[in-house]
Amino acid sequence: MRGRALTPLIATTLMVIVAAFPLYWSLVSSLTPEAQLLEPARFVPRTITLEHYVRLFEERDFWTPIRNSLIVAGVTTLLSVLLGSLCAYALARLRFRGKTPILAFILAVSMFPQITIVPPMYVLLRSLGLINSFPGLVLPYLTFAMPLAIWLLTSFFQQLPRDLEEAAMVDGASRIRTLVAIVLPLAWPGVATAAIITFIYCWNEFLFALSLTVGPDRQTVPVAIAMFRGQYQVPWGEILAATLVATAPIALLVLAFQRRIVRGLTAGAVKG
Amino acid sequence: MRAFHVVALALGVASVLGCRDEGVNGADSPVLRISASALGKEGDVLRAQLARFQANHPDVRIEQHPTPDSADLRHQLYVQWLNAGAVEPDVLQLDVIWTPEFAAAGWILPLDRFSPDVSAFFPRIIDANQWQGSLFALPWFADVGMLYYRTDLVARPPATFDELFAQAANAQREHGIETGFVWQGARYEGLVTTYLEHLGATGGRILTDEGAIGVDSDQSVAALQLMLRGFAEGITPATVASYHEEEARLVFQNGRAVFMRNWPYAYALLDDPAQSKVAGRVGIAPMPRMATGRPTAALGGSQLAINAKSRRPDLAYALVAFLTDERQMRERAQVVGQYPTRPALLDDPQMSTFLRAPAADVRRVIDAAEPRPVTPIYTELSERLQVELHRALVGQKSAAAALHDAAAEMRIVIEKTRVGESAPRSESSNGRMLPLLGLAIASVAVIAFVAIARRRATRVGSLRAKAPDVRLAWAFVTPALLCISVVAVFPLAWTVWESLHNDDLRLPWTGRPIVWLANYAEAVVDPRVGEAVVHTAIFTIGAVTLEIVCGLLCALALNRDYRARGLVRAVLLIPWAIPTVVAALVWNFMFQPVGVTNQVLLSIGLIDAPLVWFNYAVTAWVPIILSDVWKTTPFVALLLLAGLQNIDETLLEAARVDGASAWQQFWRITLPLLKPAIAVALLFRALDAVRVFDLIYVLSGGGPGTSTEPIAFYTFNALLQNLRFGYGSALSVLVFLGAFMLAIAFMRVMSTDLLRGHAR
Amino acid sequence: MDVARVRLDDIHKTYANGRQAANGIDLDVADGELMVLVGPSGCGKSTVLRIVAGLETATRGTIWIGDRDVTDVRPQDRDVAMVFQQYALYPHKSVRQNLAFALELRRMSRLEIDRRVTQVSRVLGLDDLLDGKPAQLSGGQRQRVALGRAIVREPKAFLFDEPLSNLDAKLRIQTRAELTRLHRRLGATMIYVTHDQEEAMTLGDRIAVLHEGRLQQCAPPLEVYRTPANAFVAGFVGSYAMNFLACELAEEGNHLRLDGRALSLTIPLPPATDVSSTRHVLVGIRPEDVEIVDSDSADLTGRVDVVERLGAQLLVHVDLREPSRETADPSAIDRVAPSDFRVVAGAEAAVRENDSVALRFRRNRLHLFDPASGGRLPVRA
Repeated sequence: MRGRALTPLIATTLMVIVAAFPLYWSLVSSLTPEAQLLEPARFVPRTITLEHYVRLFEERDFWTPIRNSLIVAGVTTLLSVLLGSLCAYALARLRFRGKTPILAFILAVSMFPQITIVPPMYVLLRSLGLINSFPGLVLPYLTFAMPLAIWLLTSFFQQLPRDLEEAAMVDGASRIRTLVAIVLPLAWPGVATAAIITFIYCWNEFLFALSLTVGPDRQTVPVAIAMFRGQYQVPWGEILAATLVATAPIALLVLAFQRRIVRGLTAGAVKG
Repeated sequence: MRAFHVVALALGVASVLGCRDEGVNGADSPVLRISASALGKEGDVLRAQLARFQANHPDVRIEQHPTPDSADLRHQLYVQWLNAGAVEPDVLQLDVIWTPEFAAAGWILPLDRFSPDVSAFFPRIIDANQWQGSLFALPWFADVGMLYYRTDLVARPPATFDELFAQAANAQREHGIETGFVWQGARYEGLVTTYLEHLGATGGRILTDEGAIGVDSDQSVAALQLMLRGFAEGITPATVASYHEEEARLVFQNGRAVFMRNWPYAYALLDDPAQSKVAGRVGIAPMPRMATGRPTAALGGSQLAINAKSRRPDLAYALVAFLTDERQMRERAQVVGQYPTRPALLDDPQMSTFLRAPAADVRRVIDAAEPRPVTPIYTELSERLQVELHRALVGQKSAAAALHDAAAEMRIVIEKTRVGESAPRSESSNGRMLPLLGLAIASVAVIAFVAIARRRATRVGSLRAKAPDVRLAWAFVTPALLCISVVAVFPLAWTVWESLHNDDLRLPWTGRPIVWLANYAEAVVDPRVGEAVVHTAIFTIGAVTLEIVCGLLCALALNRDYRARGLVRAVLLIPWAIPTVVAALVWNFMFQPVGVTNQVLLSIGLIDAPLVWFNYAVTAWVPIILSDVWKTTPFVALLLLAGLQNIDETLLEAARVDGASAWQQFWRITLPLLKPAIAVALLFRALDAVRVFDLIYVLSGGGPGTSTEPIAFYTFNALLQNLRFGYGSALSVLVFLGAFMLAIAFMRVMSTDLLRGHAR
Repeated sequence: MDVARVRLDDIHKTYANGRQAANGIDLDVADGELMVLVGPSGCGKSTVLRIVAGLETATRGTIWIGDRDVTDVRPQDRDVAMVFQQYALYPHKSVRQNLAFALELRRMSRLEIDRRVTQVSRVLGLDDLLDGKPAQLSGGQRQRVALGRAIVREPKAFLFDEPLSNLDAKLRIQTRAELTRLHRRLGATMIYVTHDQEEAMTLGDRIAVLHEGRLQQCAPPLEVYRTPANAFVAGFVGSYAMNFLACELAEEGNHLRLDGRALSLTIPLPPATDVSSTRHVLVGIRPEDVEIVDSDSADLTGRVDVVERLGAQLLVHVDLREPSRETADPSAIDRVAPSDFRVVAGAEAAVRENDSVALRFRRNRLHLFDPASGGRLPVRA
């Protein structure tokens, strides 16, 4: 029996090492002085320096992309979750024809290759004067954030016990009242989870941000990092420092909410 | 909770409204913006000079518009901005090959009305900045390709390539130097400049004087063969095919090369004892030639141009004139070591010290420097050329075959674009109509949908008491549907419509004629499309298979209760949660020639020399697929774990009691019951994989050559690099159809009731 | 309490997938009556209950609560209270808030709400639990809160959806008695759904037996027990399942003879009974109406297969098959004797496995059914 228990333990340790190593390596490298970066490095650095991080924030103004990412991801998440919750509740609980076509429609939209959306978005935003603006990013982000939120929330609402809502209705609560007084208080963990997952997807988005912004004043974190490449030199130290700074908030979110995220991700996918 | 929501909403609304004014159209503020390189010493001198200019113009603020320093990225951004009608930056730093392109598109101002003193600059450089008789940019500093050599290994610089090879072989043998000659061989513009110098040496041309393609002439082929000769004779290392300027410089700087072809910037770094091992032993000379040609330097360097939409063209010109005047240019030479574009400055006695090379030599080199073909479609021509040159370098094709193919492709490009037929057209006629059209389409779609569905509902007739429910349901569903329609249905409709037109945004004179299915026909026979599909398939099959297998193993290992489970899951989730770009950069770093992967492999003895992963098609896939697997296996593992946990333990216990081994339990009970979960994971991952973009963009850029270019990447190129919106739209539609059919076929085969499960 | 009668008129319910849950159900629950809907799973009883509540809509038919046609009225406005199988207590509200919720919806004064809540809480023994949340309560306590939630509303009718199925056996019996007391106290109209016939028998003023969407019989428990309307009801109701024998009817003067291979007995028929058309009958006799006797006064004999000792009684399973006997009459129907004929005997009865045993039926407890339709055939005791 003990041998049996050992294999998963080894496997798990291996998995954790594989998952964590690249990030560990980035951390180590980001603390290594510039001159030693491309030299054969060691697993534990000899000297540690914060020069890359300093340069990141002072010379390059990394705060602006962070602010941009926060605003765009935040607003998109808010809209998606608000409108998406209503839609998801209707799909999960209310009885009406046309559910299947709607879900098929939403699934189809989420399958759009992003590249397909870029040119018309570009042209549309240009004619509206919204290139390189916050609304100009939130709008295209909704193409994937809204279906994602609806998908997650529909599964979640379906898992709520139906008879609570029925009890409320028999007790005399209208549909809306039931939604507000009974469903929402119970659903907010699921809504929060959907919000977290949506936020993560928005934060990580690259193609739209790359194509539809013009300057660092509106570029998001992933784009800003990708733009670090110099004329002849690749400032790896700063790039890695930036990647870690970009990863840190996400890592914190995940660490804090891992159980919720797991439940949210798996709820929709596997119908028992 | 509620207060927080309100505040967040308010912030969101405020920021949305607040930023309406910023962005492209800008508020009316007295600011002049310049976009220029600002790394290191260039940044220092630029700041000083801008401050000086500012002092003379106190009523306007002069600011730098931050741009990436990489030329390729800067070009892409300029194209995006200028095409979008951005009014800033006012002044742009252009690479010499961009001027005709931007001029033809009407994005930069002709400077003739300011009457610049053109005679004070090198004629060749002025020529390169002219388009259809007008001057569009002033030369700022010159870059010319030079030959660096080790003064301690070589008595005098070689005059011919034969001499160079002989000297290199000698030095390698006698002094044990690793490589003889390094240059820029990665698939980018630098490769073309190197090729240009070899072309000059053999007498070949990219474009003949009549404007015809000349890369398949005998001399041109000989030039490429000259480059390949270095490989054959052991003078040039194979790794050169992945080198940009820095890689070559580092090799030379660490004393591992006898000769190097590079731009002048490298000299200061090479001569700095703090970082260079060859400080004090470096010489610089013109590139050698062959019997049929002459020593040639590719003409690079930067010019300053004015945004055609700038609101302060006069002030912008004042800045341009200021930065290119004698004093500033001299200072630049002194601080940065960049070559001035005013011949008179090269007579200055101190210039040789500044440039660390004999000024007379430099003057001669610049005088004779070879510009690249002056044509607005140069970027596209160069791209075709780069791809084929690189193929020859990595041994995929012979020199003759590569150049033959390059010439053919380049001719097609020229034919297609019919350069210079008429004046640029005015601003796009779509204008205001477009968003209204979009809204109309979306609304019509949604309303029709709702109406049809409701009619079917009431016809069933079983919803008497539920009618208010139905109305509420549609009230809930409609806002989200409308939103999705506007941002998704409309773009798709537009893309389909656009794909039926020929629309090249860089060549406004060609208009936007409707060509029906011509773009699709072109896509079907475009060899790069077929290759891209194959690449996408390789990536999809390779990555998804690994992800499913690894995910399954992970899920099995995770399927038990232990205390640190939460922490383990969190750690495993992080790769999924970080931006793809970040993951790609990290893995790129790990797979650099000096990266940790090579170090580990070397130390175990699996390889005996650092492998240049991104150099070869096969090995380039390894970091690409591995990084995708690393990033998404956690997600797959989670899906499968959920499926595992849905399996009734008692089934497995019953099997165990019946005598089934662990393997049999897994194979005969667990796996079949896991099929729906595997199917879902497979579907999601496959759909994501066929649309892969971010990863490739950052990791390999589609290289080597175009060997790892998936279809979404090629589409992006067509759309936003080459601005061929019509063709790119056709590609987009094909990608969409591909993904769609994949999903449908998939669902049929696996008969997964995803939708029905949801609509219960 | 302002109660009312509940009437269902020709209720049909067909689902979208074609399943017919209710097929022409007529039900009339009197003012203050406790009507139990009972039947096996899938018989449609829960559907009917939900239709009364308004949670499902009938495909056809009308529902009346009091003198109001509520067929098209939403559940919120029907003024019925429902106790769910899983109690459906609002987990985020305290017990007190759970009780008060419906009253708050009606904008009742705080004073009135508190009065009612306090009263109900006292009656149901919830005083100590008022400030806790449902998660902290035991199953039995939760059930009482669910009950309280309904009572506090003083509705026109109470609907119970298998409220006892989640309780263990002892608690179930205890709560059953409490429910009866409650009904007596409140005098309210109650419709109660269960699959447990014992519950139905003990609780209901009348029970309505449903099978495959159709009402089989609606009558007071004793009547259903004594005179089941058809073979299904006969077999469903009663602690021990009824025994059925396939027999043949023969004319003999004023009496009838049942000639089965294993059975031959004479029973009196009421006058003017038309038996000419009925040759084959299904005879039903409950295990408790069969006696173990000496062989001379026996109706039939068999072999004891299994003896279940239940404490105060024995349940004897008798195998009535006689494989060696041949049938002389070629026109005899294919009468297959049961292998598991059940008899209830006192604990001190001297029966052992494999004994030969003689059985006698109580004449006035015989039931006769038409083998084809299952319908009851009249017999005079």
